[in-house]
Amino acid sequence: MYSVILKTATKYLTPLMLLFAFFLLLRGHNEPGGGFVGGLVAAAAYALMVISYGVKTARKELKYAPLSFIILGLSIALISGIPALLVSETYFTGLWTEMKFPVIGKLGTPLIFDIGVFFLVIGITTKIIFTLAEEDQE
Amino acid sequence: MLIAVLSGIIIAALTPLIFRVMKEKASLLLSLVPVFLFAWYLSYYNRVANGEIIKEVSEWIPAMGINLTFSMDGLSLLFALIITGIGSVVFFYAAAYLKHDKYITRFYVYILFFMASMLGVVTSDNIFGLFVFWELTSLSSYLLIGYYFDKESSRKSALQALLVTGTGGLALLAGLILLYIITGTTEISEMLAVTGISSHELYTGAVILVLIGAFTKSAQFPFHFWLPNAMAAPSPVSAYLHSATMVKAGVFLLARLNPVLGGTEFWQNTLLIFGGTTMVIAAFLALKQTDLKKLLAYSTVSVLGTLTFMIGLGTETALKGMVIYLLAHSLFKASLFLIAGSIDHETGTRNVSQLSGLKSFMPFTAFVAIFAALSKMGFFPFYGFIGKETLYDAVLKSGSNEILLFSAVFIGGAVSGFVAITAGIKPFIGRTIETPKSPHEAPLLMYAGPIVLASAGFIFGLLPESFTGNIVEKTASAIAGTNIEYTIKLWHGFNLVFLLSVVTLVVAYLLYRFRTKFTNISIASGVGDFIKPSMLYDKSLSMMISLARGQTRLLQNGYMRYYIVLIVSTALGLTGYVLFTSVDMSVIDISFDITFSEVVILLVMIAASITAIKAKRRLSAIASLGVVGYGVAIIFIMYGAPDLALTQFSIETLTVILFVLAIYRLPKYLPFSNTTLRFRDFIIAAASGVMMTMIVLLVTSEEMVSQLKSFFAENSLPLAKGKNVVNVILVDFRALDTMGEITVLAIAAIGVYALIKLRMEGRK
Amino acid sequence: MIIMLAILVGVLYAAGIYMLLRRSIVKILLGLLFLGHAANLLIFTVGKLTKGKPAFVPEGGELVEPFADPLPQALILTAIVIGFGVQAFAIVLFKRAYQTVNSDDIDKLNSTDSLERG
Repeated sequence: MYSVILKTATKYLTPLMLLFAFFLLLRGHNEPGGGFVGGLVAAAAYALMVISYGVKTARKELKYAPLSFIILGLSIALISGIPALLVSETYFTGLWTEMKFPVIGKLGTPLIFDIGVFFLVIGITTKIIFTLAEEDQE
Repeated sequence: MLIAVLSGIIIAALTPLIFRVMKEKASLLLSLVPVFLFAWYLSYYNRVANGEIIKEVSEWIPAMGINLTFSMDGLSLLFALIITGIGSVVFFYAAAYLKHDKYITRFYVYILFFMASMLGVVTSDNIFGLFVFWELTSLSSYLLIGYYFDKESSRKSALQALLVTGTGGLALLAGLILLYIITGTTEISEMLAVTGISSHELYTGAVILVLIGAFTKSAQFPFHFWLPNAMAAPSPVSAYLHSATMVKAGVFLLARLNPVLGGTEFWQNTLLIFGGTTMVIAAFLALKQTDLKKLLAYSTVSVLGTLTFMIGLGTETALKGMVIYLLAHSLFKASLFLIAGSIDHETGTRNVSQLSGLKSFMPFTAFVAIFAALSKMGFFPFYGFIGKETLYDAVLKSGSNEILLFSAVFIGGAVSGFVAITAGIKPFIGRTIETPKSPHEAPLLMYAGPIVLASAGFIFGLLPESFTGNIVEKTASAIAGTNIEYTIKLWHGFNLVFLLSVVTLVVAYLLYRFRTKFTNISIASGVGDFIKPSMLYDKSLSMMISLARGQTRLLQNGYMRYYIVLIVSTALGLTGYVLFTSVDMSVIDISFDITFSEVVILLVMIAASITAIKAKRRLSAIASLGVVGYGVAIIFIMYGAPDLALTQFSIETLTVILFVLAIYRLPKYLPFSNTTLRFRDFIIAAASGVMMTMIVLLVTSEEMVSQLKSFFAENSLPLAKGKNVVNVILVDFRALDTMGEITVLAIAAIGVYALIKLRMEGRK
Repeated sequence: MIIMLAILVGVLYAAGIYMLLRRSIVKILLGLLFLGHAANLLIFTVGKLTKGKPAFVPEGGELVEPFADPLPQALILTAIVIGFGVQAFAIVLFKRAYQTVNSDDIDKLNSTDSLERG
């Protein structure tokens, strides 16, 4: 599966896919997108890397272990529910700032939750793909 | 009070950690828990003694009116003090008794858990809270009886106790629900105010179910057999759960519900008959026992019968006598069990006939044992004496059938005395017999606690009113449901009751003196043998097992497709039956308003499905399935679901990659099935496909109004500041569900990793 | 348009069940995939179809009917992602099974937990 064309294409595609993934994540609250899709697209970028360059390179490019992403994602998601408790609302009640940002719109805890989902999805998908690919290489 | 209950559970969870840090000292530290709780409950004493009922409500399931309500009156406080007080003694005792045991950590986890649950039972005011704690005590009792899990008899007894008390627990739940239906409230304190309970049509049912729950727990006839078997547990457990606390939960329940359900002939007579029968049968069974712990266990069953009997008698004196006797019994029986444990620990045997003359080797233990035994015999001036006198007094004044009732109580009393002599005095006096281990005094921790309990029995006896007057009065009032004024006195003068009390002692001594003859007669005549409810238990258990085995062999033969055929054809049969008999098919709207693009997608997807099924190579099958998946995504786009389409596209791509990575290197398919089989499967599959199509058509032709749809549409922007309603539902309205979902995903990923990693490491 | 999706749901269910009845484990996995698609489409279809109108609140206005019901969509989105997790696990499980018994035949797997006779 190691072809030059695929390698070259991957080199240019992956940054674009990652960028697109972030874009999907941030606009998800108002337009099609969100943490799940964003995470999946980002993970697909690394899957592409696995196919064209092999697992080792993909792992290096991801920088942190997939498991850290899973833990990070779950923690962010869990923590995003806590601010509501501080103002004595039920867990996971959305809280919002009044300021508006481009693309994102207003900033609030549901967005943080979505970011948690995003990282978690990246984590689990790359974990599964890397594990399978590594085993395949042996 | 919630915190007092929860603290036990929390500390139980921390116990392994505490043991890791503190090593051997951990058990001493943990023993301070019941001591602190005892002090804490004691701080309520004055308020309760003044007649106050302390209540605490924490919301649990407010929508259904179920709250964790705790209340403390005399009855609750008395039990809480017994639980924590005897708990303190038992915890310290176990620190020495199980010192070299491998699983001592587990012991403390279980017993802390038990103590917390038991405190929950006696302080809960809500019937459902009470039920939950009730079941937790059964569970922790199971774990504790099965503590020596490497012995088959232990496991068997544990299971028996769990099944008997668990079945009773189910009956209790049903009874409590009936009670809720009758009274309309889940709080016991509110039930007291409801009138006309006994004339309700569900009353008899509720009483029977509640009684089954209480009788199984308190080992009343015919459920008594589990308790002697539970002696497989370590001695501290027998002392704590199976004499002083858990087995009294049933009696507690009867006492607690007496003002709600009591006062009818049905209630009183049932308690009298079952309590009395238990008292007498257990007494006869006790005569035959040679094992110290079994002897004490049968005696405990007999006492539990007595307590039930006294509630059934129901007069003021009877209730007071019951409370005094209950307290006295907890003190002396726990001591005797602990002493039996010490004897076992130091001599290596529990066989009464092999034990004699230990007093020179174990002077302190002997001293405590004799104190406890005297209290149990009802010897002047011990607390047990007052208990026995009040019982006799109550029976003689009961007003009907005095002679019959008294002879029952008398038999119970005499045998209780016999057991006291045999278990508490006989092992220590007389000439020395050789024992498996050469005996020596038990460690300080193992007799210090019993000394406290036994001297409490002595001091309470000397000064009954100042130490126990208030609490006995308030407890009896709580059981009666009316205010009872009472002063306890040690000495009532030389009257009929005292005379009978003395006669009891004489008979007890005679029983002991001629025990060998008596035992032989009892075995020969088979008294107590003719009724064997445990046989019924064994029979029904083995029947259940063979039934399970039979149906497993029939339905689960190990071939997955057989299961699937069974499941699918059952679903087909049942759904098909409903579809064809009771559904009007004419409502189905079959209008072919299909556009060209839809037809194309439909055809492509069907073609891809067929290719995936018929493909000879795995890769082409996977590719065809990919086409089906993309087709689904296109359908999502066409019908206003861009989010789904995006997700479906990315998932489909990743799935194909996964498949390729996993099965790229596998050889070609091998044909496994023949044409006939394939035809059969095709028929089943096609039929279910047709059924699903029908269902879809039927459901969609119904008019459906969803309030949720408009709710989410209207509130998405104002409440959640998002325009993408689907995303808003996922991350805001139903964020907790999504949280659960991503947790599942994380677990799946870890599962994948574990499956592969284990193998890779296994190879190295 | 409903009739087309109804037929499609039927076909996918039939395909899924047929594949589940095979002896080859890979085919069983494919059957699971089929059933996943079928179930998602089933929920989607019975949740009422609305052509081309996704549930997005327009700029400065309110959502007016007709628009697609967002609730089944949220459910399906969850189902798709969970389905992926399950499939990944099933694929790996299959792979391990294949390595252990060296065969694609599911009948080779039932010796480990066969019923104790007697």
